Amino acid sequence: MSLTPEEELALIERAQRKEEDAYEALILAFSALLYRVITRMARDPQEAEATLQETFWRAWRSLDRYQPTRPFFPYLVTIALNLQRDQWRSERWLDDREESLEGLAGGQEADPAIQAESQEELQRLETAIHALPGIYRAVIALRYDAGMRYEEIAQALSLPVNTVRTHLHRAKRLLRKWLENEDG
Amino acid sequence: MDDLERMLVSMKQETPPAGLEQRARAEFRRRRRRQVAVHAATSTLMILTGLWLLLPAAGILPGPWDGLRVLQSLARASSSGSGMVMAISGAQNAQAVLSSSLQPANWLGLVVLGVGLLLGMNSLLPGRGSQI
Repeated sequence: MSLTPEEELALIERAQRKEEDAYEALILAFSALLYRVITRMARDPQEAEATLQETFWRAWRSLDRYQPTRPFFPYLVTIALNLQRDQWRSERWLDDREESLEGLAGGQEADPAIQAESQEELQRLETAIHALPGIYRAVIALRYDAGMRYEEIAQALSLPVNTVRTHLHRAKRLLRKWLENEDG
Repeated sequence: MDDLERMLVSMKQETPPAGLEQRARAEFRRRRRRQVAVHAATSTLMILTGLWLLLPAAGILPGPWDGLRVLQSLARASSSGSGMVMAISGAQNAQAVLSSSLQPANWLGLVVLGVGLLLGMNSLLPGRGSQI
């Protein structure tokens, strides 16, 4: 279910008047996309779904402060990332994982017969993304899962646009290095 | 577009688990029902507590607070042309009566009652800005 900007704005304005059916329509419209983004950062699908539900609840409770002229999805992403950051902090997930990623790459058996598009390689790439530092995972998720522009990512993460570019560049460099090691 | 870029883009096509949207909506409904119930219970409790604390004050307040007598006094004052004097002295009297006769418990009751009413209105009334 996708919404036009006009439909989205109308639903948000109704939700701000506490019309629950309007907010439920927003939940139905954004759940799948938001879930994809959260999945990149959560440890498992259960945690991702719990974060998704908590995100929608917090967004509802702070809807009074939301400016409806801004797009709704980056607003949801901001809340979800803050929740995930809290999770990382509580579990000390914020430590730099570059070494563990390199270790992971070295530990995998190289198989040149595997094509880049194969499911197995995609699975390995996903594993590698999960081993990235949290902020890199967030940038990858927003860029490739949510298809957000650099400016939108910067807004959602409260970072300068250039920092977003740098994070994305470094994340891809790490992943590329891992893929090269995979190829032998 | 290199291999990595192509792979990152293709990962986007993964589908979320079945029924995800419906579960998210059901969880929202469950939490919303609980929120409304908690608001209603808290509001009712605060209104009752506020009234309980405030009711003894009704016995403390002297005669001029009787609504009918206030109206009669106002009518007399307006006919005699000394309305402004009456209003000022009346306000001063009211202030003196309130500060001398109401106990701290009555003030607390007033505050609790006010918060309870606001909380109740917040639950019942729709619209932006009504949230406390």
